[in-house]
Amino acid sequence: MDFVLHGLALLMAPKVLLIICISSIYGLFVGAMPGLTATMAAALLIPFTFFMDPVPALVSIVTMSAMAIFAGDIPAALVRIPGTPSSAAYTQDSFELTKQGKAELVLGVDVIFSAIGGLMGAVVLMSSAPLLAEVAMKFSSFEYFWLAALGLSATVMVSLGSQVKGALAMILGLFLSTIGVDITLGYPRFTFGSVELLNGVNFIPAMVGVFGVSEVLRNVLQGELAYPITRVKAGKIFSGMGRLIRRYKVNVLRSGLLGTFIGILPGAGADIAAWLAYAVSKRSSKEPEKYGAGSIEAIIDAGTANNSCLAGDWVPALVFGIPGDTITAIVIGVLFMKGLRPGPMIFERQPEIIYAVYLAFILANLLMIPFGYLAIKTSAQMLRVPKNILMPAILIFCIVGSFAINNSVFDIGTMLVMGVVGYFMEANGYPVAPIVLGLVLGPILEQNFMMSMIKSEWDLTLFFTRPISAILGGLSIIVWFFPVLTAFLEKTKKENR
Amino acid sequence: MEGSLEKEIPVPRNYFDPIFVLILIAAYMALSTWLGFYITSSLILFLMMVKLRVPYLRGLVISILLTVFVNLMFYKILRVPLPIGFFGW
Repeated sequence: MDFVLHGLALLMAPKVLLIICISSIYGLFVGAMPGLTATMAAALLIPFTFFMDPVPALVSIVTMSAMAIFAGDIPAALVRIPGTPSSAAYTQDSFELTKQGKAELVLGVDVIFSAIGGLMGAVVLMSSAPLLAEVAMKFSSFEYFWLAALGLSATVMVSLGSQVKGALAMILGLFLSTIGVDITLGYPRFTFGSVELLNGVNFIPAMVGVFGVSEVLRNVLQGELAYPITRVKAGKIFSGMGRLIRRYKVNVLRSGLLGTFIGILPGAGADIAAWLAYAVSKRSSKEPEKYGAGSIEAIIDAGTANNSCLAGDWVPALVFGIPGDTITAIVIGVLFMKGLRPGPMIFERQPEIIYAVYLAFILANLLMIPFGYLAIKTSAQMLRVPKNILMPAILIFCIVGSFAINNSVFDIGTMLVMGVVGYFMEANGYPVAPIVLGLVLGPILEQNFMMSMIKSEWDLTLFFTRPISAILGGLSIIVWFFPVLTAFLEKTKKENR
Repeated sequence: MEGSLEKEIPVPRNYFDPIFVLILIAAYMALSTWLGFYITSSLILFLMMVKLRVPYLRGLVISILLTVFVNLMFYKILRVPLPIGFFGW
């Protein structure tokens, strides 16, 4: 209880409250702008948080991401373009309802059910993380090796679109993580004699490049999009919500839990949660014919799931130091740079950090209702901010943010190269999220493997003779052979017919 | 599924604009240690805005305001050093 109060006290400091408000507005704005994603918002926020204390830094990222995932729903309803990929699943339904004159209803549902989903996720996070942390206390380098392997494998398995492309992107991330001085033997790898590369590819500029610069490039290529914006009466959005909550309470419970579970899976983020919740919702609905033509049930399910997923993403991140999605991957990368190792030890040594994250989730989702109302009220003005001023502004924040970390012009170069790489990958259908996971998990994988090998004097069998290690290893192997397995089962099924 | 949304809205393509952005980043790398943060940032912002067809005067004013804002955020609030040129600012 002491820690809860201590966490609350950290959160209620005027400076932290100010940071929460600024992060909320920032998250709402970036989330609501079509073409700017929540991940980009995180990448641009990181250079700032790098210079903050751990608690305000984490709190700022939590509030920003919660607000951004909700705000992605606003342009989906008003101009039929999802503000972030997490809203793509139900963009069609939202816009159809807007065309039927129900924009206020859609936006009201978006705010209320995003907040409920977020709170459900927070409850699961608070109840499961300490339990898992106790299990994690028993983990040694063998188990962490498998966790990292499992995280990487799951990232590839759930990547939207081609799994081969997902795997290639992950391998690129792993390769980038090997650049620099070898962590165990101290031998420089792939540095080509460059002094700057001895410390490896600098994480923050790489992220700013992949998620910031590449989006600037994409947006300037597209030019200005002129779209008609539906005007809404913000005063009406909350009417009838109580009735909807009562009517769809089973949906909310199911999608909230589903979303959180997807979040806990390493590498699967809010966009996948929304697509899955949408599919489950359609299958179990009494009126599946409405899906795609304006179903409020679909919006409730998917909208709850994508926000509950966010808190789920933090479970493996806090407990094991294995990211649940791209945003938490960026967070872990930054915590490493600050010398803070996420993992079960944090629960014992710095519990106030954990409680601050919990409370930030609750606070952010409660604040979502008033802030969401304001965002909807000002949506018409927000969506009219011209891109030809916004893009140069984002670019200068990318450049200055990359430079600031190490005071080095070389890092701006890293950002430039990674921006071009990220742009071409996305233009050709390669997901970029696996790069981040590879870059963050690569060193964890390598370090734990080498530690295990040195401890056991190169006895590989220990990876399978320790019980927890064997289970995690078995799971990883099942994930690797999953495509072969399903193909084999399909084939035998056909032959039997 | 995201692609289908874009197909219905005619999208203009400005192939030179992304290349121009890359040139600007490279220019920042080359110039910032020589001209300093204020001049380089304002210049880069102004050139990019003009390239994206923002009117000259408006572009100039917004570039300078943004530069001051970035300086405020990084230098004044976060106390991060920014590139200093031979003028000392």
